[in-house]
Amino acid sequence: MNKVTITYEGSQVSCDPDKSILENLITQDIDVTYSCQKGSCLTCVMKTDHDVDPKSRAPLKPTLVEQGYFLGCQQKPNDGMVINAADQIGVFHNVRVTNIELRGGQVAIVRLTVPDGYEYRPGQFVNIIGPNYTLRSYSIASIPLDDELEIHVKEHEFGTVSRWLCDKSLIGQEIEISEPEGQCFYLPGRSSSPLLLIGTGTGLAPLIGIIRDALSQGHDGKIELYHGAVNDDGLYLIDELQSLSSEYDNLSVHLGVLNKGSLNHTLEGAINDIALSQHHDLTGWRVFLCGDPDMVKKTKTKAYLADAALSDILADPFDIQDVKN
Amino acid sequence: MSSLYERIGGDAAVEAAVDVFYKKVLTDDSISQFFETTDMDAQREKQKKFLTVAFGGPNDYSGKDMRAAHAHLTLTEDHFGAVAGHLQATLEELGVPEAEIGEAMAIAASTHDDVLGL
Repeated sequence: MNKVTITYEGSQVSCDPDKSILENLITQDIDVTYSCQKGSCLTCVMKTDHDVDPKSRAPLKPTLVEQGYFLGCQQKPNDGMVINAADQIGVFHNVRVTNIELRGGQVAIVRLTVPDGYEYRPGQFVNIIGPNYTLRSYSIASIPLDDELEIHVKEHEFGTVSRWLCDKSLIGQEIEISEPEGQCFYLPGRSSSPLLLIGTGTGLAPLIGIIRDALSQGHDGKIELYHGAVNDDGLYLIDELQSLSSEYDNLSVHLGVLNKGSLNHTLEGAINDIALSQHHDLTGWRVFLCGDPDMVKKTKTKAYLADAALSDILADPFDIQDVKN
Repeated sequence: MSSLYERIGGDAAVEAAVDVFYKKVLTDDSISQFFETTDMDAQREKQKKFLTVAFGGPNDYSGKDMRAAHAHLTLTEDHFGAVAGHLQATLEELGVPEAEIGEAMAIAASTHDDVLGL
Protein backbone atom coordinates (compact mmCIF):
# COMPACT_ATOMS: atom_id res chain seq x y z
CA MET A 1 0.00 0.00 0.00
CA ASN A 2 1.20 3.53 -0.77
CA LYS A 3 1.95 5.53 2.36
CA VAL A 4 1.76 9.31 2.61
CA THR A 5 3.89 11.51 4.82
CA ILE A 6 2.59 14.30 7.00
CA THR A 7 4.32 16.55 9.48
CA TYR A 8 2.76 16.51 12.94
CA GLU A 9 4.16 18.84 15.60
CA GLY A 10 7.39 19.11 13.59
CA SER A 11 7.94 15.36 13.14
CA GLN A 12 7.41 13.41 9.94
CA VAL A 13 4.80 10.70 10.25
CA SER A 14 4.23 8.01 7.64
CA CYS A 15 0.49 7.44 7.33
CA ASP A 16 -1.97 4.97 5.88
CA PRO A 17 -4.03 7.21 3.54
CA ASP A 18 -7.20 5.16 4.09
CA LYS A 19 -7.29 5.85 7.82
CA SER A 20 -7.98 9.12 9.58
CA ILE A 21 -5.12 11.31 10.72
CA LEU A 22 -6.13 10.64 14.31
CA GLU A 23 -6.15 6.88 13.81
CA ASN A 24 -2.72 7.03 12.21
CA LEU A 25 -1.34 9.01 15.15
CA ILE A 26 -2.93 6.69 17.72
CA THR A 27 -1.64 3.50 16.12
CA GLN A 28 1.86 4.96 16.13
CA ASP A 29 1.62 5.86 19.82
CA ILE A 30 1.96 9.56 19.16
CA ASP A 31 0.62 11.60 22.06
CA VAL A 32 -2.69 13.07 20.94
CA THR A 33 -5.86 14.12 22.76
CA TYR A 34 -9.05 12.38 21.68
CA SER A 35 -12.16 10.64 22.90
CA CYS A 36 -15.12 9.60 20.72
CA GLN A 37 -13.41 9.33 17.30
CA LYS A 38 -16.75 10.01 15.67
CA GLY A 39 -16.69 13.75 15.19
CA SER A 40 -18.88 14.46 18.21
CA CYS A 41 -16.65 15.34 21.16
CA LEU A 42 -14.34 17.78 19.31
CA THR A 43 -11.38 16.85 21.50
CA CYS A 44 -9.10 15.83 18.60
CA VAL A 45 -9.15 19.29 17.07
CA MET A 46 -5.93 20.12 15.14
CA LYS A 47 -4.67 22.96 13.03
CA THR A 48 -3.39 23.15 9.44
CA ASP A 49 -3.06 25.64 6.60
CA HIS A 50 -3.72 22.90 4.04
CA ASP A 51 -7.09 22.15 2.45
CA VAL A 52 -9.22 19.68 4.36
CA ASP A 53 -12.46 17.78 3.82
CA PRO A 54 -15.42 20.07 4.73
CA LYS A 55 -16.69 17.17 6.89
CA SER A 56 -13.73 17.63 9.25
CA ARG A 57 -14.78 21.21 9.86
CA ALA A 58 -18.56 20.93 9.82
CA PRO A 59 -18.96 20.59 13.62
CA LEU A 60 -16.60 23.49 14.42
CA LYS A 61 -17.53 27.09 15.04
CA PRO A 62 -16.81 29.44 12.10
CA THR A 63 -14.27 31.29 14.22
CA LEU A 64 -12.26 28.08 14.63
CA VAL A 65 -12.60 27.12 10.96
CA GLU A 66 -11.30 30.55 10.04
CA GLN A 67 -8.15 29.82 12.04
CA GLY A 68 -7.49 26.51 10.27
CA TYR A 69 -8.82 24.09 12.85
CA PHE A 70 -10.26 20.73 11.86
CA LEU A 71 -11.05 17.35 13.44
CA GLY A 72 -8.29 14.76 13.11
CA CYS A 73 -10.79 11.89 13.33
CA GLN A 74 -12.72 13.14 10.28
CA GLN A 75 -9.78 13.83 8.00
CA LYS A 76 -7.60 11.48 5.98
CA PRO A 77 -3.92 12.39 5.58
CA ASN A 78 -2.78 14.03 2.35
CA ASP A 79 0.87 13.82 1.42
CA GLY A 80 2.80 16.85 2.66
CA MET A 81 0.22 18.12 5.15
CA VAL A 82 1.67 20.11 8.02
CA ILE A 83 -0.40 19.75 11.17
CA ASN A 84 -0.09 21.03 14.68
CA ALA A 85 -1.86 20.03 17.83
CA ALA A 86 -4.33 22.59 19.07
CA ASP A 87 -4.25 22.28 22.82
CA GLN A 88 -4.46 26.03 23.17
CA ILE A 89 -7.87 26.43 21.63
CA GLY A 90 -9.62 24.03 23.89
CA VAL A 91 -10.16 26.89 26.28
CA PHE A 92 -10.62 25.16 29.61
CA HIS A 93 -12.10 26.78 32.68
CA ASN A 94 -11.33 26.07 36.29
CA VAL A 95 -14.51 25.34 38.22
CA ARG A 96 -15.10 24.12 41.76
CA VAL A 97 -17.03 20.97 42.57
CA THR A 98 -19.71 22.18 44.97
CA ASN A 99 -21.60 18.94 45.50
CA ILE A 100 -21.68 15.26 44.56
CA GLU A 101 -24.91 13.49 45.33
CA LEU A 102 -25.04 9.72 44.87
CA ARG A 103 -28.28 8.38 43.44
CA GLY A 104 -29.55 4.98 42.36
CA GLY A 105 -28.17 3.12 39.39
CA GLN A 106 -24.62 4.24 40.25
CA VAL A 107 -25.38 7.73 39.07
CA ALA A 108 -23.97 10.82 40.76
CA ILE A 109 -25.40 14.29 40.35
CA VAL A 110 -22.36 16.54 40.26
CA ARG A 111 -22.66 20.30 40.69
CA LEU A 112 -20.01 22.77 39.61
CA THR A 113 -19.54 26.51 39.81
CA VAL A 114 -20.22 28.36 36.55
CA PRO A 115 -17.26 30.24 35.04
CA ASP A 116 -17.79 34.00 34.61
CA GLY A 117 -19.48 34.81 31.30
CA TYR A 118 -19.94 31.13 30.47
CA GLU A 119 -22.71 30.82 27.87
CA TYR A 120 -24.28 27.44 27.34
CA ARG A 121 -27.49 25.88 26.09
CA PRO A 122 -28.97 23.13 28.25
CA GLY A 123 -28.45 19.83 26.45
CA GLN A 124 -25.00 20.76 25.23
CA PHE A 125 -22.05 18.95 26.76
CA VAL A 126 -18.70 19.81 28.30
CA ASN A 127 -15.45 17.91 28.22
CA ILE A 128 -13.92 17.37 31.61
CA ILE A 129 -10.25 16.75 32.19
CA GLY A 130 -9.90 13.79 34.52
CA PRO A 131 -6.90 12.03 36.02
CA ASN A 132 -3.93 11.61 33.63
CA TYR A 133 -5.48 14.08 31.23
CA THR A 134 -8.22 11.65 30.27
CA LEU A 135 -11.13 13.55 28.73
CA ARG A 136 -14.78 12.63 28.95
CA SER A 137 -17.91 14.41 27.75
CA TYR A 138 -20.86 15.08 30.06
CA SER A 139 -24.16 16.68 29.10
CA ILE A 140 -25.46 19.72 30.94
CA ALA A 141 -28.65 19.17 32.94
CA SER A 142 -28.91 22.65 34.47
CA ILE A 143 -30.24 25.82 32.85
CA PRO A 144 -28.52 29.22 32.80
CA LEU A 145 -30.98 30.52 35.44
CA ASP A 146 -29.49 28.05 37.93
CA ASP A 147 -26.56 29.10 40.09
CA GLU A 148 -24.61 25.97 39.31
CA LEU A 149 -23.72 23.73 36.42
CA GLU A 150 -25.18 20.25 36.82
CA ILE A 151 -23.99 17.03 35.17
CA HIS A 152 -25.03 13.41 35.72
CA VAL A 153 -22.26 10.86 35.93
CA LYS A 154 -22.79 7.13 35.63
CA GLU A 155 -20.01 5.33 37.46
CA HIS A 156 -18.36 2.74 35.25
CA GLU A 157 -16.33 0.00 36.87
CA PHE A 158 -13.21 0.80 34.86
CA GLY A 159 -14.00 4.43 34.08
CA THR A 160 -11.11 6.56 35.28
CA VAL A 161 -13.04 9.80 34.98
CA SER A 162 -16.45 8.58 36.12
CA ARG A 163 -15.07 6.93 39.28
CA TRP A 164 -13.15 10.12 40.07
CA LEU A 165 -16.26 12.28 39.61
CA CYS A 166 -18.40 9.96 41.73
CA ASP A 167 -15.97 10.15 44.67
CA LYS A 168 -17.18 12.64 47.24
CA SER A 169 -13.64 13.58 48.20
CA LEU A 170 -13.65 15.71 45.05
CA ILE A 171 -16.12 18.13 46.66
CA GLY A 172 -14.46 21.51 47.14
CA GLN A 173 -11.69 20.77 44.64
CA GLU A 174 -11.13 22.54 41.34
CA ILE A 175 -11.47 20.73 38.03
CA GLU A 176 -11.20 21.86 34.40
CA ILE A 177 -14.09 21.94 31.94
CA SER A 178 -14.22 22.92 28.26
CA GLU A 179 -16.44 25.39 26.49
CA PRO A 180 -19.91 23.91 25.87
CA GLU A 181 -20.26 21.91 22.66
CA GLY A 182 -22.99 20.11 20.74
CA GLN A 183 -26.13 20.86 18.77
CA CYS A 184 -28.74 18.99 20.80
CA PHE A 185 -30.70 21.79 22.47
CA TYR A 186 -34.03 23.64 22.44
CA LEU A 187 -34.47 26.38 19.88
CA PRO A 188 -36.96 29.11 20.79
CA GLY A 189 -39.93 29.64 18.50
CA ARG A 190 -42.65 27.16 17.56
CA SER A 191 -43.58 27.25 21.23
CA SER A 192 -46.74 25.21 20.77
CA SER A 193 -45.19 22.40 18.71
CA PRO A 194 -45.04 19.13 20.65
CA LEU A 195 -41.75 17.74 21.97
CA LEU A 196 -40.88 14.06 22.33
CA LEU A 197 -37.80 13.30 24.42
CA ILE A 198 -36.42 9.78 24.83
CA GLY A 199 -33.40 8.96 26.96
CA THR A 200 -31.75 5.94 28.50
CA GLY A 201 -29.63 6.09 31.66
CA THR A 202 -27.86 9.43 32.10
CA GLY A 203 -29.18 10.34 28.65
CA LEU A 204 -31.79 11.93 30.89
CA ALA A 205 -29.35 14.73 31.85
CA PRO A 206 -29.50 16.69 28.58
CA LEU A 207 -33.23 15.98 28.29
CA ILE A 208 -34.12 17.44 31.67
CA GLY A 209 -31.98 20.48 30.79
CA ILE A 210 -33.81 20.84 27.47
CA ILE A 211 -37.23 20.49 29.14
CA ARG A 212 -36.52 23.05 31.85
CA ASP A 213 -35.05 25.37 29.21
CA ALA A 214 -38.15 25.00 27.01
CA LEU A 215 -40.49 25.60 29.96
CA SER A 216 -38.52 28.64 31.12
CA GLN A 217 -38.85 30.04 27.60
CA GLY A 218 -42.61 29.62 27.73
CA HIS A 219 -43.01 26.47 25.67
CA ASP A 220 -46.71 25.67 25.93
CA GLY A 221 -46.96 22.72 23.53
CA LYS A 222 -47.12 19.16 24.75
CA ILE A 223 -43.87 17.76 26.20
CA GLU A 224 -43.61 13.97 26.40
CA LEU A 225 -40.58 12.63 28.27
CA TYR A 226 -39.63 8.94 28.24
CA HIS A 227 -36.83 7.83 30.55
CA GLY A 228 -35.65 4.24 30.49
CA ALA A 229 -33.33 2.19 32.66
CA VAL A 230 -32.49 -1.44 33.24
CA ASN A 231 -33.93 -1.61 36.76
CA ASP A 232 -36.02 0.59 39.05
CA ASP A 233 -32.97 2.06 40.78
CA GLY A 234 -31.72 3.39 37.44
CA LEU A 235 -34.68 5.81 37.43
CA TYR A 236 -32.47 8.11 39.45
CA LEU A 237 -34.42 11.35 39.03
CA ILE A 238 -37.91 10.05 39.68
CA ASP A 239 -38.86 12.56 42.42
CA GLU A 240 -37.71 15.62 40.49
CA LEU A 241 -39.50 14.44 37.36
CA GLN A 242 -42.74 13.82 39.21
CA SER A 243 -42.68 17.20 40.89
CA LEU A 244 -41.91 18.95 37.60
CA SER A 245 -44.76 17.18 35.83
CA SER A 246 -47.20 18.10 38.58
CA GLU A 247 -46.11 21.73 38.23
CA TYR A 248 -46.58 21.88 34.44
CA ASP A 249 -49.76 20.54 32.85
CA ASN A 250 -48.16 20.22 29.42
CA LEU A 251 -45.40 17.88 30.67
CA SER A 252 -45.99 14.12 30.84
CA VAL A 253 -43.31 11.83 32.25
CA HIS A 254 -43.17 8.14 31.33
CA LEU A 255 -40.73 5.81 33.06
CA GLY A 256 -39.76 2.41 31.76
CA VAL A 257 -37.52 -0.42 32.90
CA LEU A 258 -36.37 -3.55 31.15
CA ASN A 259 -36.83 -5.61 34.32
CA LYS A 260 -40.05 -4.64 36.00
CA GLY A 261 -39.64 -4.19 39.75
CA SER A 262 -41.91 -3.07 42.56
CA LEU A 263 -42.29 0.58 41.53
CA ASN A 264 -45.77 1.66 40.58
CA HIS A 265 -46.44 3.55 37.36
CA THR A 266 -43.40 2.20 35.53
CA LEU A 267 -43.71 0.58 32.13
CA GLU A 268 -41.90 -2.59 31.13
CA GLY A 269 -39.75 -2.81 28.03
CA ALA A 270 -37.33 -0.80 25.92
CA ILE A 271 -38.25 2.84 26.45
CA ASN A 272 -37.80 3.83 22.78
CA ASP A 273 -40.20 1.08 21.67
CA ILE A 274 -42.69 2.13 24.33
CA ALA A 275 -42.47 5.79 23.28
CA LEU A 276 -42.93 5.09 19.57
CA SER A 277 -45.78 2.67 20.18
CA GLN A 278 -47.60 5.58 21.82
CA HIS A 279 -46.74 8.10 19.09
CA HIS A 280 -47.34 6.78 15.59
CA ASP A 281 -47.51 10.13 13.85
CA LEU A 282 -44.73 12.59 14.63
CA THR A 283 -45.61 15.14 11.97
CA GLY A 284 -44.64 18.54 13.35
CA TRP A 285 -42.97 17.08 16.47
CA ARG A 286 -39.49 17.91 17.64
CA VAL A 287 -37.69 14.80 18.82
CA PHE A 288 -34.72 14.63 21.21
CA LEU A 289 -32.84 11.35 21.63
CA CYS A 290 -30.02 10.81 24.12
CA GLY A 291 -28.13 7.87 25.54
CA ASP A 292 -27.15 4.48 24.19
CA PRO A 293 -25.83 4.98 20.61
CA ASP A 294 -27.64 1.95 19.24
CA MET A 295 -30.95 3.10 20.74
CA VAL A 296 -30.40 6.61 19.38
CA LYS A 297 -29.64 5.38 15.86
CA LYS A 298 -32.61 3.02 15.66
CA THR A 299 -35.02 5.51 17.15
CA LYS A 300 -33.87 8.25 14.80
CA THR A 301 -34.81 6.08 11.82
CA LYS A 302 -38.15 5.16 13.38
CA ALA A 303 -38.98 8.76 14.25
CA TYR A 304 -38.21 9.75 10.65
CA LEU A 305 -40.43 6.98 9.34
CA ALA A 306 -43.15 8.26 11.71
CA ASP A 307 -42.92 11.51 9.73
CA ALA A 308 -40.80 13.70 12.01
CA ALA A 309 -38.68 15.99 9.81
CA LEU A 310 -35.03 14.96 9.93
CA SER A 311 -34.09 18.52 10.85
CA ASP A 312 -36.39 18.22 13.88
CA ILE A 313 -34.70 15.11 15.25
CA LEU A 314 -31.83 16.07 17.53
CA ALA A 315 -29.68 13.30 18.88
CA ASP A 316 -26.85 12.95 21.34
CA PRO A 317 -25.43 9.43 21.21
CA PHE A 318 -23.26 8.70 24.25
CA ASP A 319 -20.23 7.24 22.55
CA ILE A 320 -18.16 6.36 25.55
CA GLN A 321 -14.81 4.87 24.83
CA ASP A 322 -12.28 4.19 27.53
CA VAL A 323 -9.52 4.74 25.07
CA LYS A 324 -6.81 5.89 27.40
CA ASN A 325 -7.14 3.37 30.19
CA MET B 1 -38.65 22.76 -24.43
CA SER B 2 -37.59 23.20 -20.83
CA SER B 3 -35.70 20.41 -19.09
CA LEU B 4 -37.38 17.56 -17.24
CA TYR B 5 -36.01 19.01 -13.99
CA GLU B 6 -37.73 22.35 -14.63
CA ARG B 7 -40.98 20.76 -15.81
CA ILE B 8 -41.18 18.59 -12.72
CA GLY B 9 -40.71 21.62 -10.48
CA GLY B 10 -36.98 21.94 -9.82
CA ASP B 11 -35.48 21.83 -6.36
CA ALA B 12 -38.86 22.12 -4.64
CA ALA B 13 -40.03 18.94 -6.37
CA VAL B 14 -36.87 17.09 -5.43
CA GLU B 15 -37.28 18.26 -1.84
CA ALA B 16 -40.87 17.00 -1.83
CA ALA B 17 -39.87 13.67 -3.34
CA VAL B 18 -36.82 12.91 -1.23
CA ASP B 19 -38.63 12.00 2.00
CA VAL B 20 -41.18 9.86 0.18
CA PHE B 21 -38.39 8.08 -1.66
CA TYR B 22 -35.97 7.68 1.28
CA LYS B 23 -38.74 6.23 3.46
CA LYS B 24 -39.56 3.63 0.80
CA VAL B 25 -35.91 2.66 0.63
CA LEU B 26 -35.52 2.49 4.43
CA THR B 27 -38.53 0.22 4.83
CA ASP B 28 -37.50 -2.18 2.06
CA ASP B 29 -35.65 -4.99 3.85
CA SER B 30 -34.05 -6.18 0.62
CA ILE B 31 -32.00 -2.97 0.30
CA SER B 32 -32.26 -1.04 3.58
CA GLN B 33 -28.90 -2.43 4.75
CA PHE B 34 -27.13 -0.25 2.17
CA PHE B 35 -28.69 2.87 3.62
CA GLU B 36 -28.16 2.21 7.31
CA THR B 37 -25.89 4.81 8.73
CA THR B 38 -25.53 6.91 11.86
CA ASP B 39 -25.54 10.02 9.72
CA MET B 40 -29.06 10.05 8.30
CA ASP B 41 -28.80 13.71 7.37
CA ALA B 42 -25.89 12.97 5.03
CA GLN B 43 -27.72 9.92 3.67
CA ARG B 44 -30.81 11.99 2.92
CA GLU B 45 -28.61 14.45 1.02
CA LYS B 46 -27.30 11.55 -1.07
CA GLN B 47 -30.83 10.48 -1.89
CA LYS B 48 -31.60 14.04 -2.90
CA LYS B 49 -28.59 14.08 -5.17
CA PHE B 50 -29.74 10.84 -6.78
CA LEU B 51 -33.22 12.25 -7.42
CA THR B 52 -31.70 15.40 -8.90
CA VAL B 53 -29.76 13.19 -11.30
CA ALA B 54 -32.86 11.16 -12.19
CA PHE B 55 -34.79 14.38 -12.84
CA GLY B 56 -32.08 15.52 -15.25
CA GLY B 57 -31.23 18.42 -12.96
CA PRO B 58 -27.91 20.07 -12.20
CA ASN B 59 -25.59 17.48 -10.71
CA ASP B 60 -21.94 16.98 -10.03
CA TYR B 61 -22.06 13.23 -10.66
CA SER B 62 -20.21 11.84 -13.66
CA GLY B 63 -20.56 8.21 -14.72
CA LYS B 64 -17.14 7.66 -13.16
CA ASP B 65 -18.27 9.06 -9.79
CA MET B 66 -21.40 6.93 -9.93
CA ARG B 67 -19.19 3.89 -10.48
CA ALA B 68 -16.78 4.80 -7.67
CA ALA B 69 -19.56 5.60 -5.22
CA HIS B 70 -21.06 2.14 -5.57
CA ALA B 71 -17.86 0.14 -6.04
CA HIS B 72 -17.59 -0.90 -2.38
CA LEU B 73 -21.10 -2.36 -2.33
CA THR B 74 -22.04 -5.81 -3.51
CA LEU B 75 -25.01 -4.92 -5.66
CA THR B 76 -27.16 -7.15 -7.82
CA GLU B 77 -29.73 -6.65 -10.55
CA ASP B 78 -32.43 -7.11 -7.88
CA HIS B 79 -31.05 -4.22 -5.78
CA PHE B 80 -30.99 -1.93 -8.79
CA GLY B 81 -34.52 -2.97 -9.72
CA ALA B 82 -35.76 -2.35 -6.18
CA VAL B 83 -34.42 1.21 -6.08
CA ALA B 84 -35.76 1.92 -9.57
CA GLY B 85 -39.15 0.59 -8.45
CA HIS B 86 -39.18 2.94 -5.46
CA LEU B 87 -38.31 5.85 -7.74
CA GLN B 88 -41.21 5.04 -10.04
CA ALA B 89 -43.62 4.57 -7.13
CA THR B 90 -42.51 7.87 -5.60
CA LEU B 91 -43.15 9.78 -8.81
CA GLU B 92 -46.54 8.11 -9.27
CA GLU B 93 -47.49 8.92 -5.69
CA LEU B 94 -46.62 12.58 -6.25
CA GLY B 95 -48.78 12.73 -9.35
CA VAL B 96 -45.98 13.29 -11.87
CA PRO B 97 -47.36 12.82 -15.42
CA GLU B 98 -46.60 9.51 -17.12
CA ALA B 99 -44.39 11.00 -19.83
CA GLU B 100 -42.15 12.70 -17.26
CA ILE B 101 -41.95 9.50 -15.20
CA GLY B 102 -40.80 7.73 -18.35
CA GLU B 103 -38.06 10.29 -18.87
CA ALA B 104 -36.86 10.02 -15.27
CA MET B 105 -36.84 6.23 -15.43
CA ALA B 106 -34.82 6.35 -18.64
CA ILE B 107 -32.20 8.54 -16.96
CA ALA B 108 -32.12 6.22 -13.94
CA ALA B 109 -31.73 3.23 -16.27
CA SER B 110 -28.74 4.92 -17.91
CA THR B 111 -26.82 4.64 -14.62
CA HIS B 112 -27.33 0.84 -14.55
CA ASP B 113 -23.85 -0.26 -15.67
CA ASP B 114 -22.02 2.30 -13.56
CA VAL B 115 -23.98 1.46 -10.40
CA LEU B 116 -23.50 -2.28 -10.84
CA GLY B 117 -19.88 -1.89 -11.97
CA LEU B 118 -20.43 -3.62 -15.31
